[in-house]
Amino acid sequence: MDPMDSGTLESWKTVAWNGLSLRVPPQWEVSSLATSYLQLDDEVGPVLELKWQQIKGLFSFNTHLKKLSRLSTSTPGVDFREIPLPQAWQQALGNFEVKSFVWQSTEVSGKGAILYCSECQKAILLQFYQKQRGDDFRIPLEILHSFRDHSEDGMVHWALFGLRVLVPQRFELVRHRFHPGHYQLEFQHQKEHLHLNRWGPADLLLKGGNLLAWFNQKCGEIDWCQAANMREYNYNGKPALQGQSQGSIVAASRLWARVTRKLPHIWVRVWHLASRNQILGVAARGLKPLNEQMLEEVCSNYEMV
Amino acid sequence: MRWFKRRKPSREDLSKGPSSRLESLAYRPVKSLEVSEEKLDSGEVVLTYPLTLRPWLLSLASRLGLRSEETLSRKLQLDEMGSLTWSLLDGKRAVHDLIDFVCRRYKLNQREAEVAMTGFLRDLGKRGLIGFRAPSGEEGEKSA
Repeated sequence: MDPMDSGTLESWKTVAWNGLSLRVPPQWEVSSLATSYLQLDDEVGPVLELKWQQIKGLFSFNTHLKKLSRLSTSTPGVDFREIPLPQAWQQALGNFEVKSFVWQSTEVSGKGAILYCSECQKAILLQFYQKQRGDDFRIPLEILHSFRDHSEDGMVHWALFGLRVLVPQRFELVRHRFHPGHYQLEFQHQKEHLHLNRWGPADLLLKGGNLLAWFNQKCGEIDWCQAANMREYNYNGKPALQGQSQGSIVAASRLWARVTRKLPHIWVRVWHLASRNQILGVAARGLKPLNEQMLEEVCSNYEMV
Repeated sequence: MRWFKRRKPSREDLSKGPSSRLESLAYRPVKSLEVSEEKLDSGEVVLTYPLTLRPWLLSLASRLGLRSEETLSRKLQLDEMGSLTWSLLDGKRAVHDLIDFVCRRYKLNQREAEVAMTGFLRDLGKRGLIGFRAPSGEEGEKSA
């Protein structure tokens, strides 16, 4: 089947991570992940690699191309060269300043580009791996057409391993974890922390019991949540728990609060998404009163697909 | 200090194993005949398997009179998902079949199920509880 049929194009999925977003074929999956790095694999091996960095000051394409060239000369059997930007790529990457390159080794070759976005001062290195000559050139092109490196509305889209959420741009990712059974994203903006959790499979975790019993047992993972005085709640027809407080039971935080005379504000919501057999959680804490409207918005845009 | 250098796997050795992720997922896990299983009332499975000891440790255990089946065996209690997976290991289902089953049963993301399943099977393999049969059409059986 031709993967580029319009019907199958609709089945492509969005991968969005730390400001970058792109649409990829459904069988492509993220295999390696860091704060500013993504590698995607198909069934056989690596197909796309992305690395990006915020640039302070002037950006020099030549410096980065030289770095790549030096890297290739230190690897035996790899031939690296800069090439003029293909016309089709030029159209797809119209919003960026771009330099493109190719490299070739005995078994695999690659074609990539260094992009610079003058609007958000981000430099991006992306490369597509080509295993054989007949690889469909339209797939990279379609991906480049969908590629975005910043949001227009102040909300950053995160989409990975079935998780979808929109988070205000001011929050920076400080920690992430994608373990089987538990996903966690932790964001921070000044003294304000935002935690997104996903636990599963819910039927195994709850074992017929209720959400509150499970949460009381589980909240050791995010111990400050214990202070939130959780109570049962109905969130859009889903069984949920919600709590908020001004205070902390963690000894260090309590001491800090006593010294600074400031008690952290805490807000927690956990709900059971029975249709996906998952439990989702949003928790926030900060020294200033939390913006509940923003937290409601995060919850309403947090889903598993 | 090592007395003998560890032999590097030859090209031939490497070519015997699966060459890609897709090929690895086509291997079929097979239970070891030396493992006995007991099903608890909760539905969870407890596996009892012989402990593999180095020969010198085995002879020491014999001299100390510790060499009995009970002392040289270990028990492993599987959780609900592990017990279900164990019950599916029939030597016919490939790793990708098990992943698909778990995905559907627990509504998990494919990648998440794959990481969980391969991690679980790797752990069972390390303990010697399972081996892997090459996909149909190929000969040979490999331990994990």
